[in-house]
Amino acid sequence: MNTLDFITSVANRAVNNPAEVLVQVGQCSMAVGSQEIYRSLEEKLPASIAVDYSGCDGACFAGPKIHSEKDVSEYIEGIRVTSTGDSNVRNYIDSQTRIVLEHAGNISASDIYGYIANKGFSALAKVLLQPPEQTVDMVEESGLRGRGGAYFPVSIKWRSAMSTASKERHIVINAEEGEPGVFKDRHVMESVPFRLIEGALIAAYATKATSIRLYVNAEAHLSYQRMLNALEICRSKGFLGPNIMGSGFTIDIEILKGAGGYVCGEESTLLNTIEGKRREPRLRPPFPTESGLNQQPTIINNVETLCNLPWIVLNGADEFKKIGDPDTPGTKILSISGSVNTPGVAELPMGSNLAELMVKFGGISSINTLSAIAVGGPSSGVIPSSESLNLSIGPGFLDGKSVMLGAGGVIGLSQDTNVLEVVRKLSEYNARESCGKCTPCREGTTRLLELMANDSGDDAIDWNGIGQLAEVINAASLCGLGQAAGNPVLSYGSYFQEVSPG
Amino acid sequence: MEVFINGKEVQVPEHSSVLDAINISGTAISQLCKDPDMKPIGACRTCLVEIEGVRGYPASCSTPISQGMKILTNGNKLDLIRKSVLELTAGMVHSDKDDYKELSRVMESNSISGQVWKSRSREETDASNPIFNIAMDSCILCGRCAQACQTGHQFIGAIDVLGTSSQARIGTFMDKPLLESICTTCGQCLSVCPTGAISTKVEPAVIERTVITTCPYCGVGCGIKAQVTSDDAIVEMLDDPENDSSLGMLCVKGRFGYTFVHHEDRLTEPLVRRNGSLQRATWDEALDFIADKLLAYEGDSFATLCSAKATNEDGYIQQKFSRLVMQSNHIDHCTRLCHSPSVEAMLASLGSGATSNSYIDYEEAGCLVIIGSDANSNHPVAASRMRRAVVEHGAKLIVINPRRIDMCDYADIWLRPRPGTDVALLNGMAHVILENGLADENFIKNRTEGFDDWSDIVTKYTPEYVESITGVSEADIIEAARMYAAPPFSGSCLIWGMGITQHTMGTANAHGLLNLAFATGQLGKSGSGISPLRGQNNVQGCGDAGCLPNAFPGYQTINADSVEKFSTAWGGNPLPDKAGLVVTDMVREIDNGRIKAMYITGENPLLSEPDLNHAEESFGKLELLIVQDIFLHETAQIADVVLPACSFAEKDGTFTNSERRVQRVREAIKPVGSSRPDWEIICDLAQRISIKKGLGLGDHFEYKDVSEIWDEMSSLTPMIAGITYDRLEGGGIQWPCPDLDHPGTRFLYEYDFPRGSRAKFVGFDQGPASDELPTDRFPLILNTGRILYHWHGGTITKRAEGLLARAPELLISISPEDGEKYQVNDEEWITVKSRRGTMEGRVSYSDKMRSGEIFVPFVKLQEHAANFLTNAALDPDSKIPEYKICAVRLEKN
Repeated sequence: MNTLDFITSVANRAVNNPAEVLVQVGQCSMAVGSQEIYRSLEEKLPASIAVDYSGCDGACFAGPKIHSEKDVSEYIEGIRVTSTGDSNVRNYIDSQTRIVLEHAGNISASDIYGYIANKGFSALAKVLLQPPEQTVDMVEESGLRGRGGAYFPVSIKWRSAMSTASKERHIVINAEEGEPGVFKDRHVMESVPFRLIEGALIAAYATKATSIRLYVNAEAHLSYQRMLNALEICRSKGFLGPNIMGSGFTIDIEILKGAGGYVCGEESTLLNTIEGKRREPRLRPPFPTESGLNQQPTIINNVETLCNLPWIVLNGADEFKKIGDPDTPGTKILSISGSVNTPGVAELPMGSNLAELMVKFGGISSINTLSAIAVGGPSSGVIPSSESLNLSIGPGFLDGKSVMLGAGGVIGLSQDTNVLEVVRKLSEYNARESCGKCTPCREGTTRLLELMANDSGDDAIDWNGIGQLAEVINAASLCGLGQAAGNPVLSYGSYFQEVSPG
Repeated sequence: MEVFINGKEVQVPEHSSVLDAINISGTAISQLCKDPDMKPIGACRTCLVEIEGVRGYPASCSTPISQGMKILTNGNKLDLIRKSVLELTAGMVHSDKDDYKELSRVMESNSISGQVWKSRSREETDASNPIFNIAMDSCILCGRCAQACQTGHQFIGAIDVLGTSSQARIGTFMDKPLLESICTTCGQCLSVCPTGAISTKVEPAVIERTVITTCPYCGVGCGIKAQVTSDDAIVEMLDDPENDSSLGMLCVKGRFGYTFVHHEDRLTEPLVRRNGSLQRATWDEALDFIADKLLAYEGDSFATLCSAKATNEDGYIQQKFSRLVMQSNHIDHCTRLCHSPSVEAMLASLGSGATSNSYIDYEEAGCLVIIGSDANSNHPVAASRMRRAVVEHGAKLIVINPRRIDMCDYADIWLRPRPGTDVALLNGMAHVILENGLADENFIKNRTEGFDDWSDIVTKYTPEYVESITGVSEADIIEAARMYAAPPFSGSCLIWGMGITQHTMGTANAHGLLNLAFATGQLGKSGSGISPLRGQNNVQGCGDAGCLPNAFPGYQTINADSVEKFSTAWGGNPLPDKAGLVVTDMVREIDNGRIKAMYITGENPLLSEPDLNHAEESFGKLELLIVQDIFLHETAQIADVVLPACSFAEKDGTFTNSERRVQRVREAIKPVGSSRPDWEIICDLAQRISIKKGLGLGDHFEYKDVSEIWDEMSSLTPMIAGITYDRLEGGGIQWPCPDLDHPGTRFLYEYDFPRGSRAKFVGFDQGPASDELPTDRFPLILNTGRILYHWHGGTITKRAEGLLARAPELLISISPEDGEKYQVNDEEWITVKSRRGTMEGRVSYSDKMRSGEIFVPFVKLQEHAANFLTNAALDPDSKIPEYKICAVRLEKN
């Protein structure tokens, strides 16, 4: 069977067998009973009505939710549940630009049929029928940048690894997602696990990789389970393993649990832990694309990054470039939490205005209900809400100084939040999560906390000294995390030192 | 490449780092975590620089240079950052020391005085090791110690940085005390520590001078640098990164075992037996006493044992004395008790008895086979280089040993044959190689002989048959054979020790190994070769120097031509023209009344011989026994005259190591007491005898210094003819080195063999596994060998406090299963008996042991020694005793 016949036959079978009821079960919706709802329906629904689970659609505020053509309320008596057709939910979803999260929440996460029925694996089929270099060119043309926080052009990373002569070449999918306030990769793996597999296979075929590893945060149990299950299904259906889709292309994806700790998301540390070494960053050069896993060229791509590939392949680089910012086309998935009314996961065009998106997707009446926004986690900082009016999401420092989008965590801080306390927490996190290897990060982050201790009141804090030390930490540290560990206090120093404590 | 450091142009080699360039330029910059001999770590962040066109302040240690790069080591912002990082570093240490070595100097040069930060609390000092402490209150977590323990040097991995953030610390697996870890106390961590956080319990005194010399322990031949005080005491031993054999590594014995030099037991005066007891004498008294007596034993009744611990020059003089003055070829040394089967086999098949390759070949090999060798204990630094091959280069490792030695941790395959069945195992591997087309047909056809006879023997050793003899599974035999014959890259090395040789089939075993190398062509190219690991520092050189009954220096066999050559060189005087007795035959001929006088230097046969009770009886029959040594050991105690010799630290000369590298030994301190170098004592004695007897040989024992001895020896020995003391100043040279322009030889047999163009297959059938087999009365097999902390019989190491503290008593290793079976508890003090004798020791349950076998090191501790038990059965070809197998039983005390 050739590749196209293969996909058609699997797709036909898939479309003919959809489940009528889908319960959205995700890590957070489980906290509000989604798992129980699914179990209850599975037990009580008549055999004629098929039930399955999907991941969540990202409208976390409305969970638990079910997606159903039929009225099934009699089977879940007493449990509050929202329909995915709810207008608030629809409005929340429809206002987004969904590429990675396309179909998230309305296709099965337990089986492959929903994904296949929605053009799943047809991008891979297309890629397998064209020369690998054509796919790399297309990715270059699309301008796709990494979504893990550094926004490095994907094609440059790929080509660097491809130009390193080696018998083996590895792809490692970074699903460590360790920073507080970011939960988008979990969301992707829980809701569209097959898209991640397809994206990884496209990358592997394009870059002539010989192995793929999926490195999942050790505490993301549900993501791990979903991916484990999806990988097994793909193997059994010929989408993974030997002779993928009859194309002759053979590769598998090995799933690994992370070693634990923020620093494991730092890519060279991640490689060390896969090799069983101490979790600390490596020196660069060499870069992983030159000497990564087992001293062989290695491409480390974030989950969200790879999940863009099927869409780009099917719709073309030009279509992709129409979305977002000219310099950074496409979307970014944001994890919105904190003092907002509608916390959730939203995929928005790059370049979206920060204040506007906080209002719209945070469900708040005005940006002034917030005192500040903690953007990008502990490697970034805090900005006054008023500043957010002028900022748009994208790579690098949003404000040119100390606040970065990073992996896309945005936490709204209410007017009565003590911003200094938030900055302390972020700094404590950096100190605690320092791997301990280099002196400025290990010693400096601890000393920052000493300087910020408020034994004699917050007014007595020496912000000049703190600022100098933070700059030394950023300038002298070994890895990207250390080089950003001073950012929370720097942002506080530049925005709040006069206005706070108030 | 040119780069600019602070505007000044500097020429640096390609692939240098920016830090290298800065150091080459002579510009001072702090580099706390960068060891000169290891790769950058990048932890201290104090070597930061500014580079034109590069953002930020990169660490120079990990930044490669590029052509024309413009580097600044100073600048307002840069200086401030560096100073801040150093202040943070200073905040980590708070012991009561006032000197933190390199850290203190760096602080001073960066004008940092006093603490900016309050010292933060640190973990407790690990003082469990008897020799050194790890004191976290002085540690800046640079990571150099962990790097040295791991891929930087030793490939042991006992310590690492544990924990994270401010709890980061240096520790061991499972955070146990160092002494309970796999630490081997090699002290490499200590040697690289920039702050003194890891340092010896006793601080070394002020050093006046450094003397570069060669380690006196095993045959690896590590470079050492003696640190000497103004009052002539060695107080510290440093490794020598310039040494090509050891590459800056040392083991526990090399680094901490030197203290025997200053031990109070050192012999400082001659002793002469009067009225039944050894009494102090002057050198004149002692030497005249010997001169008067010795010539009565001229010829066949005189025998001498030379020392593989002494220098080449000492050995050369001693054999010259025996042949020329005493007219006796009864000259031998301890190689008889260790590698004589290897030498016999290699002489027969190749024509030379040396290791064919170099340690660098282990590192470059695609497959290493370590058989009958516990290299981790006996050749620790060579073992580190083997581990480097496995860990860093991905070489395959096959360990063949009845014990689960530590090297098994790194092995792809571990074969565990029954003791004494190696011939069958090696024949079996050969069978697989021949059957599966893995042989090197070209090599066999063009460079060997005797293939057909050998392959006829090997035919019946099918894997199935071999499994029935050895207990090694068919599958493992096949896999090992394939791996050796077809390594994943480069070549394969065969490395062996006493587990091959100390058997009644020792020579057959060695031939079995050589045959494998011939069949696969794993010889005469880089990354391949055959390596009998030599046990003593100069056992190679002792044989090279002619301390053998059948050959002059350079293995020039005794025959009419060689006798004439040496006779002419030594003044036309007559020389004995028949081969003499080997050491094991000497003992028998003492019993028979043929040998009546012996002159023994630097050997202690009453500890190293098998069946010690019998050996003591034999040596007691000698009419005249002269012992020349550094301690009054068991043999010296029954001597008629004891002469105090210098240790390695007190004399000049050369040692030749296991890879044929001739290296300088240098006088670090003046001789202890009135001790003298071996060569000088013997020359003095020769002069006295010559005068008394009117032999006119005095001129032939007249040397200004040792280099004159070397020059005489090398002029008579083609394989070392190109090596001179001048050349050795630039580092050791590997023989063959036939002329002054020759660079020395890394591996042998690239084109031909000393015996001719063809190496010879010599086949053997498996015979009885051993002379003595377990019985109901003696149900267990005793295996002997060495342990890391003691060297041979322990005469030296039990006088090195640190080593003795690490291993103070004899341990009897036994499988827990046998412990229960024979009802002896772990740590119980028990007696072991054989048909010949008795010893006591402490039971140690060990998962390294197989049921039915026990292991006791042959070091003598607290008057107990395994050689009271061992069997004097000999290998017929090499006359080596079967130390590795005898039957014993355990008795409760």
